[in-house]
Amino acid sequence: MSSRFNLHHSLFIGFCATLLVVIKSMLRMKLGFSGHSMFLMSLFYLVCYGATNKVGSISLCGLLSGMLAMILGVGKGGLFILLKFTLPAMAMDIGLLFIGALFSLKVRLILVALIGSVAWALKSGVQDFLVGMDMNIVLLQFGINCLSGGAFAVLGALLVPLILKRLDAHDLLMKNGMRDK
Amino acid sequence: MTLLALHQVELQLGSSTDLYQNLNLQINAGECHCISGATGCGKTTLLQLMAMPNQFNYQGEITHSPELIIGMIMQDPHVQLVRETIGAEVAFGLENLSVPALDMLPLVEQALAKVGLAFPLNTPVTHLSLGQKYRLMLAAQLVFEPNLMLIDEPWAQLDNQGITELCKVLTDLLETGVSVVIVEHNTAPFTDMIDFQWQLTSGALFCSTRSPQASHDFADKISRHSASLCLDDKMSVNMMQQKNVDAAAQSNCLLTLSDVTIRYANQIATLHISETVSLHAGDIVGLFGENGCGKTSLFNQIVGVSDEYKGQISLLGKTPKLGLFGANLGFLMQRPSRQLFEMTVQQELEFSLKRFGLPLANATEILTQLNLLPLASHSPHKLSYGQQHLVALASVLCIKPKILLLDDPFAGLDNHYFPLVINALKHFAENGGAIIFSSHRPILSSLLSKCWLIEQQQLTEHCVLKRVS
Repeated sequence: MSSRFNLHHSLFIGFCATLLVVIKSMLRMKLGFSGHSMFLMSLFYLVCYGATNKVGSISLCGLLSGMLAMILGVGKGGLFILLKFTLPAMAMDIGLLFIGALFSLKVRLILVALIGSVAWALKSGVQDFLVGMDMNIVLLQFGINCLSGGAFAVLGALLVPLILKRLDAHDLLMKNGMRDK
Repeated sequence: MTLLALHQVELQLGSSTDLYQNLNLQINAGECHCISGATGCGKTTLLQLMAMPNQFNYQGEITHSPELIIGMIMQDPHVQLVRETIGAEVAFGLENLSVPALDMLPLVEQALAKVGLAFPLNTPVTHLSLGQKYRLMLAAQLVFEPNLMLIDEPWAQLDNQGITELCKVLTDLLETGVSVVIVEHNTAPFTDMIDFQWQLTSGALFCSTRSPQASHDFADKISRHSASLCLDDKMSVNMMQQKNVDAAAQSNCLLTLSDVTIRYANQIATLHISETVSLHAGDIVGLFGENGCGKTSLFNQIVGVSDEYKGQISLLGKTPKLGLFGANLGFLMQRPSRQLFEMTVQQELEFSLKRFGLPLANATEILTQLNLLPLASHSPHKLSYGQQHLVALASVLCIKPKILLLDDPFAGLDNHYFPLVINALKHFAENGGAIIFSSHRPILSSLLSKCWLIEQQQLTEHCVLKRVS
């Protein structure tokens, strides 16, 4: 079987990116604590990975969502919006290069979600640093973001096997899609 | 010239079972191959594997000739049709091949004429019946002149006229050097054109020596083939207009249709029912008519999916409305995938039972009756078309409704499952249930109490004199 991305993969990646941005823009939750955006992000990125079973699919999904969010004006970050979506996605893909063949699907998804949340917190840290915050506060904020973002990312990751199972039962996964065995 | 060859092909689907083992097939130009096999044995997957080998993780060798252009017609037209009008649908392949727009029109019209679809090009695809959609798929493939046609179970989808037209088109194609692979349970209509008959058994293809006539010889006289043979010569002889309705039966009347005209918005009438026709407890009624005559439309009016009719329809003493009849009404749609939604076959059956507070044991009972227990833990969405039909039928049978409406329930069934379904339906009727099933060709005369025949947009009720075997 061809190892390249095909139309089916592309459609699925686009579908995940669109759903992520649309749901994010519709909900606009003001929960009062940081990190909750990692829930949707890790959920859709990991569903995308599970459905295509290809390293690189998360980065593509992140890039698409970032561009879509920028065009639609979701959030207030300008160019940083692109970074906000792509940085965690690329970190997750890089993580998968090392642990893609290790652990059970659930453990792998949790680890990748945690890697993504660290990258997401790093982006916030860079932002804080650039606006001239004290280094101690930047580091403290980075730690807090890692923890809160990680918690939401893991919650999202835990839902992924259930979604993949449903997609598989409805014969919507590609023939190389990841099935929770 | 060899167009396509499969050499020692092995394919595993799912986690354990081998779908194919050492499968070999060579298709040369101008040859017609027919592949038969049990429902769910992998016939459709084999066609997909031939057409799109890079979508599968297979072992062995699949060779495509550089000149190979494949046209494929899948079993369910709704999976394949992508455009909104028939003209656009046929032109879709040409658009992908970058044919200039001006050159498309005559090619599209020619392809539609070949399959006997004489409709304006802007006719919406949704206005076509299932059989007409099948012909549209054929036209959409013929238009780019493939040299190998892969066709999945045409007999189940097309009426007799459609099959005759298909055979003519395929014969013409074969004469011009085009190869054809047909996957079919009932090979009899294609006997004259078949060069190689294969049986797909235990994951391998065996050259079948069974004569087509042998497929008519079911031990059970109620099988599809024998029944259709019976009716070919008997329809006009054995049917007579039913004039007198028994007074006792009148009290058990479950459904009456009086002076009904079905007409969609701004269209000419699809179907008239001038006389009063009725359905009683214990009746098995066959609703027969060609593709597009309005069988599915009539079912939609009866169950309340649609209310585009004038006249009177009384179902269990009420005017039809969706959701009004609960467990008293079972409806099997023509496309089984439209009514399957659960994760496993067992859950699919149990859904309705739980909803209506019925014993869950009914599910196991009907699965056993239809020999579907081995599929109980499978996802219904991954089953073959025929198996999905069986599961959908089981899911409406298990709630034991008073009335069962079955829209083309025998499509995709093989000789093994067909008698099981018939027995289940007989058992249902003997226990006081009433059944209306539709088909685009008259079948099962020995089973019917009466038949509703649609000809020239008129539905008439006939009684059937059962043949004594």
